[in-house]
Parts: sequence; C-alpha cells; structure tokens
Amino acid sequence: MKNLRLKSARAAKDLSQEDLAKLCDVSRQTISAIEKGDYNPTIKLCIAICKALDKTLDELFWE
Amino acid sequence: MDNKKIFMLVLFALVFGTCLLFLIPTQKYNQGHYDEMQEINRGKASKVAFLTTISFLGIYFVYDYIWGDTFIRLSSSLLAIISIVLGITVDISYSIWNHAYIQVNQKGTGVFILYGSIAFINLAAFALDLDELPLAIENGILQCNSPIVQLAMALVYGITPVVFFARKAMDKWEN
Repeated sequence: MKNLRLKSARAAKDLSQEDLAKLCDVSRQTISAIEKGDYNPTIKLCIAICKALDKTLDELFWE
Repeated sequence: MDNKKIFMLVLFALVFGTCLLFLIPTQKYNQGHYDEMQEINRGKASKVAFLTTISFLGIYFVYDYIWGDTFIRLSSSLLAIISIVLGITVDISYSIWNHAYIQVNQKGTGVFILYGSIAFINLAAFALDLDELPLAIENGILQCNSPIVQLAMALVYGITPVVFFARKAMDKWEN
C-alpha cells in the first residue's frame, strides 16, 4: 500500500527522494520503494525518516 | 616466446593496468555500504543464482542420464564454466536490476563502462585466439579449448552493463 503521508511530508519539506535518502543514509530507490508501498522499512529506518521529516511514527507509518 | 604469447601478455597487462587505473582513485569512494533493502535484495540474488545453477545442473543430469549416450555430453570443464557463468551472471544481474549492486551514495556508470571495456577486450582476445574452434566433439563429448574462458569472461562482464543501462532507462521512463 502506497505511503502518501510520507510523500506529502517529504514534499512539504521541499525534499527530493535523493535528499531524504541522503539524510537517512539509504539509497534513493529504498525511499521510492517505501513510498510506493513495495518495501516495509525496519523500525530503525522508520525512526530515521521521522527524524529527517520532523514527524512522529504515527503520522507517517501507522494506519 | 612466440608472438601469440607476447600478445596475450600485453593484453593481460593492458587489462590489469586499466583495472589498476580505476582502482586507485575509487578507493576513496569505496567507503560505502548497502542499506537494509539492498541487503535483502542481495540475499535474494544469491538464492536465485543458486537455484538457477542447481536447476541447470539438475536438468543436465537428467539429460545426460537419459540421452547422454545418444546425443552429445558436455565435458566436465565446459559444464563447470557454464555453471559458474550462469550463477555469477544471474546473481549480478538480479542485484543490478533491484538496485542492490551499487552501494549507497556511489555512482555506478563509470564501473559499468569499465566492465564493458573488459568485456570488449576479452571478446577481442577470444576472436584473435581463434586458431581452432573453441568447441569440439570428441568421442561424443563436447570439449572446450582455452579461448572459451575469454568468451565466458566477455559474457559475464558484457551482460552487466547491458542490465545496468537497461534498468537506468526503465527508471527514467517510469519517472
């Protein structure tokens, strides 16, 4: 399932997938896969993404 | 030392020198790592490569058992070369296709251009070393001569840039 909240949070911060990937120390394709819903990140990566976007886990990843 | 051996030595020195040329500056950039999704995909690549190789060997074993006496068999060296080439090619191609070959924050274009060059050099070595046919049937067994190794190397190094640039084109088209 697509993660549109992540995508919109990233857009709100005016970050490209590449920028967010660099902040979280992962590849751009990983961020793309998470947004498309093709990959479920580990909690460690979820936390890293939340810190980069100044959001909570609930706001980005929980149903 | 005859001309052919001198040529092969020069060609080897050329390939080795080219690799060394790229190796030294890339040391600085080779401090990267694979992220979690890449690690998973690399594991899957190894599994797929293993299953492909085992399937090929299984199919060949059945063929050899049933039709080996009627038709031709593969020599042990040729069988080994085909298995190794198949395994390596599938592993690398799967990794490249799933963005798990290049480490995080690394650019891959230069590496694959180098691989393409190595493939071309090996292909040239294979073509120039063709005094006799690389494959021959002796007593119902398909044997290979030494130039087949160059062909195998050319195949492995040649397929990887093709997969890489195809994947790049597909990503551009999708985006």
